[in-house]
Amino acid sequence: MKYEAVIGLEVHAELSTKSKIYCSCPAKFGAGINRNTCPVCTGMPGALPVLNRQVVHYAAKMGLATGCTINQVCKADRKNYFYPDLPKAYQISQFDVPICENGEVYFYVDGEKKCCRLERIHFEEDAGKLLHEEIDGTVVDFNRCGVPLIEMVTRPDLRSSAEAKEFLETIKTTLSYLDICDCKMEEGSIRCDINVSIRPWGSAELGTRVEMKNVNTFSGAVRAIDYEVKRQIDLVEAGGTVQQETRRWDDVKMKNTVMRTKEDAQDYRYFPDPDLIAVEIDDAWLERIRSEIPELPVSRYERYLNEYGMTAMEARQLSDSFAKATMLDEAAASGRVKPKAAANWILSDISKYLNDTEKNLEDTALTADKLVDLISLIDSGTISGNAGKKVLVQLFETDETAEQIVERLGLRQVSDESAILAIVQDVLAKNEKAVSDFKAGKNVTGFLVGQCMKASKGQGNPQMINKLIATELAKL
Amino acid sequence: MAITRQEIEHIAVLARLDSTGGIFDRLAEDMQGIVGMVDKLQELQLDNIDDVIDTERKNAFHEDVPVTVFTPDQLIAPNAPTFEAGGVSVPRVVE
Repeated sequence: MKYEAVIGLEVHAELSTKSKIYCSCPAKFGAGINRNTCPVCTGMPGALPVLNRQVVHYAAKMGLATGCTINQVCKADRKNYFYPDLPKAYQISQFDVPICENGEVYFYVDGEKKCCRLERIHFEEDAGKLLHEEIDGTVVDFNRCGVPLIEMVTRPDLRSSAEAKEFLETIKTTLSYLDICDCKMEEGSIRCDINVSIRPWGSAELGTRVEMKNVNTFSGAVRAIDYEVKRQIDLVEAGGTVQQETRRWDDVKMKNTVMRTKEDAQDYRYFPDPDLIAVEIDDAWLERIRSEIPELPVSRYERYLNEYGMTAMEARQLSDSFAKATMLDEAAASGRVKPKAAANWILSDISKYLNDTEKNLEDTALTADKLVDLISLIDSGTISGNAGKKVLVQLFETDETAEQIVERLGLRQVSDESAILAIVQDVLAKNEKAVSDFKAGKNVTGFLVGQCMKASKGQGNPQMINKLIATELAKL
Repeated sequence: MAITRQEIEHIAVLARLDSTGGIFDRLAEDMQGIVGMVDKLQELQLDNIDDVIDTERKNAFHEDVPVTVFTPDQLIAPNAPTFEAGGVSVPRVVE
C-alpha cells in the first residue's frame, strides 16, 4: 500500500530582546553559570513577574508577518510541570488566548508554492539548562530561565521532510528579516518538536500521531521525519498499530526511542497566572508594529524571479539574506545600474568576501550607493572589471567613495584612443617574432593584448586594446 | 475527591522524590487537605460569570533594559541544598 506522511511542527524561537521576559536579567547567551539570574527567574517565593514590552511587540510582529489574527487582548497562563530546569514548577505561557492565531506561511518546494497554516503563535519563558558534564551529578544553570520564546504551532499541513525543511527555512528567514531572533541554530535559538502520522494515500483521515522531541537542526528534522515515517510504515505493514507517544530523536545514533506513552501523558493543569494582568495591544501600537515589517523573503523571491529575471537559485540566495536583498533593491531603485549587474556582484565577489572574512554585510562599510557607483565606473569604462574587484575590497573597509579609491590606487583606465594606439604600435614594433607568427597564420592576439596591458601598467582599456591590435595587424 | 496512595506515588515519580515509604502517608494527608479546599471552591456559583479577560487593569510592562543585581554566590548558593560549579547540583537526570 502507498502511504502519505502528515506532519505538524511546533517551532520555538528565542526572541532577541536584551532582557528576559518577566524580569530585567540579561537574556544574553553564554554568560557564566547562573550569572543572569534574579529572584523572579529562579522562582523565589514572593517574587513577582512583570512582562517585557518588547516581547509583545516581537510576537505580534511575527504574527502579522505570517498573516495571523492578533488577539489584541490576551493573557498569560501557567503550565505546570515538574523538572529541575524549571524552578517555579510552572512555565508562564499562553493557553486559550494566544497573542496570534490562524496564520499562513508560504514557501517553495522544487518550484511549487506551498502553504502551511499556523494554528497559533504564543509567547512564553524558556526553561533553564541541565549541565551533565560539570560534575558527577547534574548542575542546573538558570540563565536561560525566562529568556523569551515564541512558539509557533502549525496545522498538520506538511507532507514530507522536504516540505518541513523549507517551511523551517522560511520561518528562519522571516525571523531574521523581522530582526526579532538571532537565528543561531548552534546556540539553540530555534528548536522544534515534530508530530508525524501516516495514512493510506488518498485518505482524508488523520492517523495516530507520534511526537518527536530534541530536534535541534533543520537537517536533523529531515532525518528525524524520514526515520519516523519509515518506522510507522514498517510497523503498520508488519500488522502493528502506531501508538500515541512521545519519542526522543537521537541525531547521533540516527534513531528515536520512546520517552513517554499516552498513559504517561502530562496534565499541565493550565490556569491564568494570577501574578500577571491582561495585555492589550491598541490599534496605534498594532499599526506601529505593522509599519516595521519589511517586504518578506517569499515576496522578494518571486519578484526577483519575475521582474529581475533571475534563476531560482539566485533569487533564493539573495532573498534569504535581508541585508543582501535590501542592498540589491536599493541598487536597483537608483535606476543607474541593471538589477542583474548588482545581483551578480552581490552573489559573487561580495558573498565571497563575506564568507572569507566571516562578516555580515551590515557590519562592513559597503552600502548600496557605493556598489552602484562602483558598477557605474565599470559600465562607463573608467575602470576595468578587474580594477573593480580591487575597489570593492576597499569599499568594505574604508569610508571612501569608489571614485576616491580609484584615484588613490591609480586604477583609472586609459580609454584615450590615441594613447592606446601609441602603446599598440610600440608593442608591435618591439615584438617582431609575434608579428611574423601572425603572418604565418598563428593567433597572437592574446599575447599582444597582454604586452599592451603590461605596457599600460594595467590601465589600458582592454576592449580598446583588442580592437586596435586587430586593426593594426590587419594593416600589415 | 480523595487522593489515593497510588497518585502520591505517581507524583513522587514525576517529581523525582525518593520513594521512602513513610512520608507518603503524611503527604497524602496534606494533599487531601489542599484538595478539600479546592472542593470547597466548587460550591461557588459561577454559571452567570463570563469567561472573559479582566482588562480593568492591564499593560504593566518593564522596558527592555538589562540589569544584573545578584551574583550566583548571593542568590543561588544560600538557597540551594547543594551548590557546585556555580549551580544547583541535583541527582543525575539522564542515563
